[in-house]
Amino acid sequence: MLESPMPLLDIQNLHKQYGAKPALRGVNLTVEEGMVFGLLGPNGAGKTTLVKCALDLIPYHLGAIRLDGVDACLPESRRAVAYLPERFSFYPYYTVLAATRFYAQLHGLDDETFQARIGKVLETLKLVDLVKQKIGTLSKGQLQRVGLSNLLLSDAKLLILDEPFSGLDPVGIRELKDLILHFKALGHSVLLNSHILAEVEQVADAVAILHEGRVLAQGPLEALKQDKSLEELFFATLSKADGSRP
Amino acid sequence: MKRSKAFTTLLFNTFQKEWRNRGFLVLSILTVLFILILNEGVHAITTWVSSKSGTMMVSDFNKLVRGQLYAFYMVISVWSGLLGALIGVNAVRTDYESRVISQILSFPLHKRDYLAARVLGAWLLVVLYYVGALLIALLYFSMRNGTMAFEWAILVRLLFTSLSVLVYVLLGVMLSLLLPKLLGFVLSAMVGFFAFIADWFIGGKPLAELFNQLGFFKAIGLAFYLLFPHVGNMGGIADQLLGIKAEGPMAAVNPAAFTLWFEAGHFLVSTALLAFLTWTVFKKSNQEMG
Repeated sequence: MLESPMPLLDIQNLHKQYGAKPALRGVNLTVEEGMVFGLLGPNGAGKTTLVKCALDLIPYHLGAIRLDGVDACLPESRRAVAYLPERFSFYPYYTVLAATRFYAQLHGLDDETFQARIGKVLETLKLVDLVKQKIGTLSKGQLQRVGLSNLLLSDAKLLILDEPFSGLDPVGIRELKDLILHFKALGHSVLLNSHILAEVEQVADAVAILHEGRVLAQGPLEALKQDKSLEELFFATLSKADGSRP
Repeated sequence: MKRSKAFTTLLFNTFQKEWRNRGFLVLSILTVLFILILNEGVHAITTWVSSKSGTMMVSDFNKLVRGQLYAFYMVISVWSGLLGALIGVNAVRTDYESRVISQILSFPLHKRDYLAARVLGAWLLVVLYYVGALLIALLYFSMRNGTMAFEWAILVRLLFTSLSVLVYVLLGVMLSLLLPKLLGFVLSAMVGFFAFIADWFIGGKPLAELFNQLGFFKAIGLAFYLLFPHVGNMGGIADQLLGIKAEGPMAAVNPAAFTLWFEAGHFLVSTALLAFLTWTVFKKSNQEMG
């Protein structure tokens, strides 16, 4: 992984509205290289909107987003990113192997590189026995592991996981947390968009708390928490914001 | 290099997605049935003529076999338009329905390339059906009747008329992003049909006559004629470019009115306009993806 002096994700004064309803209000956020960053907030806080703006899936009204120094409006910027959406799904008639090949091709990998990487990826994700199975026959946990293969196959520096814990059983959650730490060990940065605080607390190096489209707190997890738990920090931050509202 | 690889991947993926389309499978089965029925019809006619007059002239028989191929060509030309609309409404819409769209667009790929790959993939699949069906019919009719049913004019026309399929695909894609799939398909087919009728009634009439006593229906027809690609005239463009003199049902929609450069230019401009509209609707759909 190449050293980069600039943040992998740099969001400045981001504003986004759905009709007249503001979804993001002047968000500033940075994700540095090599960290697991937890983007926290209650439902409707604007987390998924923020991720979609960063990936240029939806337009924003004001502000600037840069991915590894490149304007996020440019397709080239997404070379630095791989994305696992919330409630991952894929064409049910594809086999697991065909799906991973599809991802590799969209990442621009040639067949040789794909062949060199796929064995390790399948092994890491415990998909070896499922390669010939159709996507439509997989369980939710297995399906998500197929989605994660997209991240492992890529050369992306930043991996964005949108609500990855939702719907997983305790075994799946445990495996996912191990995988996130594995991604970090491989040199990737991870942006973890989640509202499940206990899980984020165990893997994140830094967090931002988003509420009603605003970043209420941001920084290294330990510095923000001090002697509190993440849950205590989260609710204290939200109460303070709600209490200070005119 | 990477960009073209992603484009090719999506193009191939469109094939993989859409050949499973039930409408495509039903139409393929109907096509085979139609080939068989048409051929049996010709056999019945030749048997009947032979039983009445004792024999049938070889030239008449050859004409009948070629006529059979023309009839088949006319029918699959209409079916191809419908198939274009059917696959068009599916090609992009299903990516939204299965929530795969956000994954695909998160790759370093321009949204324009995604849409182009879907449209082009859908078009190529229909063209494959179109060419394949005609070649199968040609071979079957020739083998079954012991005479070559081949006509160059049909193959050349097919290349041009397949361009009109692109119009139906674009229309299907655009309407599928605005309406439920079934409604999008029905409306695409209806718009294509109305445009065909408008070509027939309006094509070649002097401007003064067109705007004279402009009623509601005439205005609608005129709008269709001016704005929508003249899908029924692609065969006529082929004929004029290659100096083929077509007659009867193979002639242009309104042969008296046919001006090659106007038709070719109109097709290019109006198809480009339709493509632009489709792109605009697609961009708008993405804005609402959040």
